[in-house]
Amino acid sequence: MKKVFSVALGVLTAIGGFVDIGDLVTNAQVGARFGLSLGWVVVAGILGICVFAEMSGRVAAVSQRATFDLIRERLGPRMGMANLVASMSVTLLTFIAEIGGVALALQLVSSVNYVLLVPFIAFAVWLILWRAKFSVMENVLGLVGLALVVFGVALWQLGPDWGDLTHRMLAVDKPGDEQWRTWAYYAVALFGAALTPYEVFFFSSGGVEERWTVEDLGTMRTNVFIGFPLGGMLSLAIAGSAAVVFGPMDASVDTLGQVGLPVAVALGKIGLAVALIGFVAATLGAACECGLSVGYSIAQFSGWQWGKYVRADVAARFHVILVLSAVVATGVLMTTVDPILVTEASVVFSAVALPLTYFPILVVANDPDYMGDHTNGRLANALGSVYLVVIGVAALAAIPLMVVTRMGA
Amino acid sequence: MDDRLAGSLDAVLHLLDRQVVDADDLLVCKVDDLELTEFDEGVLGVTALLSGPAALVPRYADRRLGRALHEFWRRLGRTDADRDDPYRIDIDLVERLGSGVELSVGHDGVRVRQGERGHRLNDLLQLPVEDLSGRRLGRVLDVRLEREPGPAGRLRVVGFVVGHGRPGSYLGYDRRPDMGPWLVNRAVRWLHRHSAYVDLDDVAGLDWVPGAMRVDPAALRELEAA
Repeated sequence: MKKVFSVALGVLTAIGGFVDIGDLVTNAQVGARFGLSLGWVVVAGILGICVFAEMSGRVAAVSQRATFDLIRERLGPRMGMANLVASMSVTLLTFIAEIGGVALALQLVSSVNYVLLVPFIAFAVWLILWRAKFSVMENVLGLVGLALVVFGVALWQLGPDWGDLTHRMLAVDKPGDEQWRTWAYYAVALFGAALTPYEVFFFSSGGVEERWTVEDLGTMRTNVFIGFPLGGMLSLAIAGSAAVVFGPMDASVDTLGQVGLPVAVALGKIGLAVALIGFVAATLGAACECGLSVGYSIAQFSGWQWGKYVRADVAARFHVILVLSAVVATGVLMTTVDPILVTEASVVFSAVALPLTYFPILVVANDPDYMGDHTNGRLANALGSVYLVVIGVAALAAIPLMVVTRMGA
Repeated sequence: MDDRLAGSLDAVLHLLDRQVVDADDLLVCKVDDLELTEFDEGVLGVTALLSGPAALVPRYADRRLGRALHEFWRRLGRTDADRDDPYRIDIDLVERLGSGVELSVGHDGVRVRQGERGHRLNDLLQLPVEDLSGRRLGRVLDVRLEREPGPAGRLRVVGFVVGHGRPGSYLGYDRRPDMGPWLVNRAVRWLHRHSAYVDLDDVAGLDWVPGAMRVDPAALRELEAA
């Protein structure tokens, strides 16, 4: 019974923790402009994150080594350092975007300007990272994040023509007034939103924090293969409801308030309130994961003690990085840079940085020295190789597309 | 996971850049470099793990930018006589080599500065490999080690992987020719199609300064899996 409960809890937190500010904003924007014609990218992204997370989770469970340990070990200090700089820039950008997201969500509730809220939120995030138990942090925020299921309810209440919606998704029916290159840019952005590098840093390091062993592989796989796809359904529901509400109006989504608007249209105040709770929980949870990921990765690259499973003074340098990241994020957001813009940039650069971490994990997940009998099977390697190519193409295309389309303008 | 130290292992692939873990499972440092000592004429072995910036920074010093970085780092501490002196962890303190290097002692005071003693693995990896007439064959990509039998057996160098590219760029596909995924396997093995193995005994000459390893091309053998 206890086992069933822990598996169910893991799946639920995986669902609630799947969506972050990148998914919220990008899916709503794409839904409003392109309908569900890019829905297949979300599906491809979810399968990709499942493949990637399963591999890194399996390596962590079998070898007790997390992502950046492996990157340093397989690529050496030179490539590893280039990798660290690129990945940490993206993760810090995502961290800034998530804290900005919490601030924007609280602004919707309180009508206090988000810039004033930022320092308090950054402090709260740091306090959680410093004091809260790892499992409590993950479970509470993940479960409250389930409030975003309200987007599914909203889509159902809006009563769209389901046949038409699925047809547009399957037929890749791009609206006539949009260009293919803009469409391609948003495809890369959606892919980056679903496959953000920090998710894997956090997932594998979290596995080490929770002392996963070979016995936990089943639970880990259940979380990944059930939790992530169901979480991804929330992404599709956000895109779908934005498509139904904004599509006919030819409006674009530029604020977090507009992301929640379809819920308000469908379900009124109560629905909106639930959506706002979901926004805060999802972005706060992701902010904690991003902040920890920065600390995890730098410490793993350098060989320092890291993790919340030891006392803070034992992992002093790790905790110093957490403090510094919170300070940097506050500083950047206090410049009044638009958090939505930061989010848009972070998802595209996620797509750029992804192959750097994906490739070494793919190699090590095949190495019997590390993995014993748990190396990649045929299916994992077939999917792994396909995604190696897909991720590579997305990474190469991202910046040229960003320039040509002027960030999807 | 088996203890890698029990059999034949590769210094770059299996030791370098691994996490060092103490007896209480706490994280100590990375293996930033290895200390190589010449025991007798022609007998070379690993005597210590080196760590800290003094060991790590020179590993970036491969090209001009790296050398500039090393010089810059040294200038930051001009007053320190031991600036270039890395921390040592004696190889005898290593109990087991799995996904990490496991020590038999706790982490308090385990890293010691004792002055530069032997050679560094990194210096060896920077050496050009030439044939007897001085034509360049490539460089040392990895160093094959084997532990002498017995409880106090030394970790001896038995041979070298020689080829083009960078140390570590074989990613382990030389040791495991059947390792997947197929796509990466073929690509890496194609890039390293000219790489070969040479026994330490077949090395015609090893000069640390000014630096070159001379090898008779006839002594080069095909790489073996293990």
